[in-house]
Amino acid sequence: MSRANTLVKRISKAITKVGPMSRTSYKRVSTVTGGDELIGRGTTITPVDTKFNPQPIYRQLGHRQAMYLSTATLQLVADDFKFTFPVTQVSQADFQGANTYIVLKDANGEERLRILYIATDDLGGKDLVINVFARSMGH
Amino acid sequence: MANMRALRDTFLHYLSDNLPGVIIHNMRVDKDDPKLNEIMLNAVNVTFHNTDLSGPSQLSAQLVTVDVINDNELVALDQTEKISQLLFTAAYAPLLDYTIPASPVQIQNERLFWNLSLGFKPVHAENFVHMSALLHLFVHFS
Repeated sequence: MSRANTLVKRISKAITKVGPMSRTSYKRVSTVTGGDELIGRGTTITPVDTKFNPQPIYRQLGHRQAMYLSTATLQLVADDFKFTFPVTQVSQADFQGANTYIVLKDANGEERLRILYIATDDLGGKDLVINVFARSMGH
Repeated sequence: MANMRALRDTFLHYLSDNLPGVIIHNMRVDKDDPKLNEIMLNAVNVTFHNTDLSGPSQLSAQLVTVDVINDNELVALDQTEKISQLLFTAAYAPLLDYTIPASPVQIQNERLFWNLSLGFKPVHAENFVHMSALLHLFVHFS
C-alpha cells in the first residue's frame, strides 16, 4: 500500500478518535428558485442539509468578536473556523458550489458558516486531508 | 411607500435591463443566500452604502458603488463605457415598485435621479481588474 494511502487511513482514524465535536456539522446546499434574485423579491430558498459522515473536527480561529442574539440565553461568537475533513468521504468538489455552506447544530440552534477557501494537505499528488476555512454568518 | 427599496430595485433593473450581455450583481448580506455577499468576477457589482434620509420637502440620497470586476481589462473598460453611456442618456428614471417583480408598477409622480458624472477609479487587485465608481442616487422619501 502506498505511503499516501496509509497516511489517509491513519489521519481518517485520528480524526474520528478526536471527535465528536460539541456541535454537529452539516453541509447545506441552498437552491434559489422563482422570483427575482437580483433584487431579492419573491425568491424561494430551499436548504438541504446533509450530515457529514464521518464528522470533521473543527477549530475556532479566534479572529473576530462576540455577537449577541435577541434571545437572552444564546450568544454566538461570529468567528472564522477551520474544519478538517478526512478524504475518505468528501472531496474538494463537495465544498466548491456557490450555494454550499456549513452549518453547525446543537440544542441551542444552528450557526451558518460561509466557505472562504479550501486547502488540502497532500503527499505525492494525493489529498491526505481537506481543510475548509469558513466564516460565521449568524444563526 | 417604501421608496428607498424601490430606489434599489429600480436602479438595479435599470442597469440590468438596459445593458444586455452584462451581468449585474447586487452585493448584499443575506444569510439564506450567502453568495450574494461575495464579489462576482466578470460582473458589475452594485453595492448600496449610506442612506441619507430627509424629510418630505427634500430629496433623500443613497450612496452606491458600481464596481466593474473582470479578468480582462479591455472588457472592463468596455463595460465602464456602456454604464456611463446608459446613465448619461438621462439624469433620471421613473421610480418603479417591484413588489411583483414580473410586473413593476410606476410609482406616481416619483423619480430616481443621479448626477451626470461618473468617475471610475482603479482599485488594485492582483488577480483581476477592478474599476470602481461612486454615485449618489436621489429620491423623494415618503
